[in-house]
Formats: sequence, structure tokens, C-alpha cells
Amino acid sequence: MVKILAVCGNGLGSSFACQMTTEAVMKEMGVEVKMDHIDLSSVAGQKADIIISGKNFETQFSHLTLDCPVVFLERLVDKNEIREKLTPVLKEIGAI
Amino acid sequence: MIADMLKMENIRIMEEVNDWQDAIHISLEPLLQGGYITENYEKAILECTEKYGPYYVLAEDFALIHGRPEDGVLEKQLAITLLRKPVIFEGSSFPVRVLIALGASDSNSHLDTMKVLSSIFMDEAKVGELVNAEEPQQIYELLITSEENL
Repeated sequence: MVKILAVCGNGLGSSFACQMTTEAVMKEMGVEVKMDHIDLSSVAGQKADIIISGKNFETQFSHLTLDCPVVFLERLVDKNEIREKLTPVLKEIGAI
Repeated sequence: MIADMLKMENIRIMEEVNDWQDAIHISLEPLLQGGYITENYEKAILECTEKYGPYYVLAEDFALIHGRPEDGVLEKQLAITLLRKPVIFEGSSFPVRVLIALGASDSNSHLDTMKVLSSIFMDEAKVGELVNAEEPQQIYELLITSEENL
């Protein structure tokens, strides 16, 4: 079971849409995931295997110390981009 | 159900907007007029944009304009504005034709609505149907039938 957190500024719109799309991709890939969506200010201290967020948040993330990989997306609801960017990370953590 | 959060009268089709600030203003109008949000909601979204960039542009054609519940959401609701001429938000390269204004009352109670919206974002045929809609009614029906087929 891989825990993935979708993160955006407010934790209820963009991150929620991203979560739904990622869940669909993971289902297609046969990867069991537990997902949630939160806002950027709550991300420090959260336990996750992978964090996924929008590219516009890259600068904000550079100020945070996190102990899991962070994947930045151009398009938060693009199944192809999510699959392409998450596959190497899932391999790296041994999930696939 | 998405019908709890979306009314026909809050779906509009417009030719164009002046700029991205105007796009935010116009997308929120039905929610403000309907008493679902306060005037502060727009201000908060603009402030958040200054801080984070256009965090609500999800991909080509879609912006999910939203703030936090405490920024001025009185009752959860959705409004959709389809633009014939796309707008580009500063800091993003994607032309956007579908402005979805969301007022959420917390981080999860709009789950049903997000499921329906995501099912459209992920489906090219539905995206085509949405951006080419001639009447607001077609957009409304697309959302309602998408929920039935989830």
C-alpha cells in the first residue's frame, strides 16, 4: 500500500482533482494506494511515500524538509503525465 | 449528488473576458449573486494567486477557481462559465475556456462533485462536448449524466 498525498494551496480544489486523477491512474496500473489531499501549510510532518503537487508550488516546496519524493505536475488532471512521472518514483520506492 | 451543488442558472456561456482577473470576477458572479459567497472570497483568491501563481489552472481549458471555506463561503456551490475565446492566466501557459468556480464548505463534503468533474477532465470526448456546448443546458446535462454513469 503506497500512501500518496496531493498538495495544493488550499487543500480542497486542485489537490482533490489531482487525487481523483491519480487514483484512476493507480487503479489502471494495479497499484494499491491510499490517497489524501491537503494544503501546503499542513504538509510538513505528514507521513507519505510520495507527494504530488503542481509545478507552481515548486519554490514553496524548496523551503520544506520532507523525507519522501515530491513529483511536480504541469497538468494536475492529466492521466498520461501522472503515469509518466509517477512510474519511476514508484519503481524507486519498490511499489512496482 | 452534483445537483445539490449546481443549478442551471449558474451555468453561463460568454464570448470573452478582458483578462484573468476579470475571468475570476466573472466566474464568481453567480455565487456572489446567489448568496453562496461573500465579496471577500474574490479578494482572497487574488491574494492567494499573488502568493502561489495560478494554482487553480488544472490543465488546458480548465480552471477550478476556489479559495478556502473561511475566505467567505456561505454555502457550498458551483458555477460554470464557458468562454468562447480562451483566457490565459499569468504564470500559466494553458489557454482556459472552462471556468469552474467552487465554493467548498470544508475539504471533503464536495466529494461527489469532484468525482463528476474529474471524470470529465479525464475524458477527451466529454471535454470536447463541454467546450463546444451551445447552450448551458447541454453542460448541465453532461454533468448530470456523467454522475449517473460513474
